[in-house]
Amino acid sequence: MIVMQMVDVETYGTDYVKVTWSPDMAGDTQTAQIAKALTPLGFDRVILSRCDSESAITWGVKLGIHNFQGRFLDAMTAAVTMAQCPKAAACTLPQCNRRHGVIAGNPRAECGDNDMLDLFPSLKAIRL
Amino acid sequence: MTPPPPSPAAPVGATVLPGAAETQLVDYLTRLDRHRTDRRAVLIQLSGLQPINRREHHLRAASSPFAPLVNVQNAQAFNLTNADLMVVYKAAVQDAVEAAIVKLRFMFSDDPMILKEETSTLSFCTWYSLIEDYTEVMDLARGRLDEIMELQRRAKVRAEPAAPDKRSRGVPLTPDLLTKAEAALDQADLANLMRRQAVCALVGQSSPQPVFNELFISILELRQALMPQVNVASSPWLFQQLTETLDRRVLSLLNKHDDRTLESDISINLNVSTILSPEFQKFDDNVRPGTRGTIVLELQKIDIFADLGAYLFARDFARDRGYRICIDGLTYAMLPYVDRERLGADLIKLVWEPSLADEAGGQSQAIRRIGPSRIVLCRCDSPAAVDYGQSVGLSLFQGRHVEMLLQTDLRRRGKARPR
Repeated sequence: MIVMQMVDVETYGTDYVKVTWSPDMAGDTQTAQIAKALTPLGFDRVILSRCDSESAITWGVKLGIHNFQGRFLDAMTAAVTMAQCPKAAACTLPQCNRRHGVIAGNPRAECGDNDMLDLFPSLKAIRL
Repeated sequence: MTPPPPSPAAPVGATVLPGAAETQLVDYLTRLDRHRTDRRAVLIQLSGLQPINRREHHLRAASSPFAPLVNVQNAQAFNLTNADLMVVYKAAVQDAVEAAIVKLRFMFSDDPMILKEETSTLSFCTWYSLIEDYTEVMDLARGRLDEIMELQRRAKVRAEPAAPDKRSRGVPLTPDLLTKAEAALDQADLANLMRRQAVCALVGQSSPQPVFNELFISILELRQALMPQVNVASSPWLFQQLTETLDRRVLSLLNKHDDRTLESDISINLNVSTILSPEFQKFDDNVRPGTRGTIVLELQKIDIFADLGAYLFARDFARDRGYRICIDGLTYAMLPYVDRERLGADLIKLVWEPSLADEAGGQSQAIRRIGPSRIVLCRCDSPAAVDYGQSVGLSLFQGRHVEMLLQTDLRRRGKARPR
C-alpha cells in the first residue's frame, strides 16, 4: 500500500500489478486511497495476492478487482474440485489442496484423477 | 560439376569474434569462385533496424528461418559483425529464402526501416546473382573485413596507454571478505579518506556559489587502504551492507571533529537504517539545533525503495529534527518513476551522462515535474554538463568541473575555500 502512495503504478506500463492484501487495507480511508491509486490502471489489471481470508475476496470484489491469488483461493479450489471429482472419497481436503499446489512429485502421483486436478474449476463469488 | 564442400560458416545465431564472419565469408566466396552457377546471395541489412530491435535475441531469431537451409547445405548464413546477415544460397531454394525474408519483415514490421522501406533509399534486402555480381559481393565482404581490422587496430592503439580500471579489478566481494572488511573498517582511521565536494549554484555566467559540501569517503582509496585485492563493487547488496558500517564510522568521525565541520552547510551519505541507529542519535546530539537545517542527508534510491515503510519513518524523524533529505544517484531514465514530492525529499541528485545532451528537450517534462530548483546535476566532469543543466533550467551542480570553476574563482578573488 505504501508503494502505491509513492509511485504511479501505471507509469511502469505492465500488463498486471500485484497488490498484496493486508487486513489494514479494509479501512475506509485506505480503501479510498487504494481505489484512487488503481483507477488509472484499471481494476481488470490488478491481481490481489496473499488472500488468506474471505474478507480479502469480499473487499477485492467490492472494489472491482477480478483476479485473486492466495491460500483462501487454493482452499476453495480444492473444495470445489473435491465436490466435482469422482475419486474424492479417497482424499481429504488438505491432500487435495497440497496436490493442487505442485506440478510434479509424490503429492501429485497420489491423486486418483490428475486430469481433474489440472482442470481448474469455475469459482463464483456473490457480487455484493 | 559439384561445387566443393563449403567452408563452415558461423553457426546460425552464434556470437563470434568481430571480423570472424567476414573472414569466413571472404574465404567462402573465394572457394565458390569457380562454382558460381546458380548461386545467389542476399544481404539482409539488420544493422538498419532500431537498436531496440537489434538485441542479441532479435539477431538470433532473425537467423533462425535460414537454419533449415543451412543444415541441408543449400545455403550458408553469415552473421556479420555489424548485425547484417549475408545468406549465400542455391537458386533452387530461392522461394524458401524469400519466405524466410517475409518472416523477418513480419518480425520487424513495426520498425521504421520496414515501415518506410518504400520511400527510403536504404533497402532491407539486397539481392545478388553470383554470376553477375560476384565481384561486388566479394568487394563488399573484403570492405567490411578491412573496416573491422582498422577499427580493431585503432581500438588497440587507444587501449594501450590507458590504465586498467582500478574499480573493476580484484576478486569479487564475498560474505567472508565482507566480514573481514567490516572488522578492518572498525579499526581503521578514516580521517585521511574523508573527502568533500561542493554543490554550487551556477546561474548564467556568474561565479559559482557554494551551497553545501558533500562529505564522503573515497571508496577507491578506502579499498586501496583496506583490501586492494577485493572488488567491492562486484556485489551491490554486499556493498550496501558495507556502507552501513561505513556510515557508523563516518558519523563517529564527524562526532570527534573538534573543528567547525558540523556548523557548516554539509551533506552526508547515509543508509535509511543508519538514521534510526544510536550512532545517528549521538551525531544529532552533537549538532547545534540551529544548524540542522543546513545538513542534507543523502539516501540512495535503492535503499529507499527496498523498504519504503522504513524510509518514511526515517524521513519523518529526520525532517522533524530539521534535516533535509536528498535522493542520490538517479539517472535520467529513473526520473519518471520517482515522485520527489510524494517521497517527501527536498532534493534529488541527477547523474550527468553525456547522452543527456543529445536528447535535450525530451527531458524537460520530467525535470519540470520534479522542479528544476530541486535537482542537483552531479558528476559534472565537463563544461557540457553545466551547459546542458542550464539549458533545462537547473542551477545546482556538483562534480570535478564545478570544483575547478570554484577553485579558479576563489584564486581569482584571492580567497581561501570556505569550510
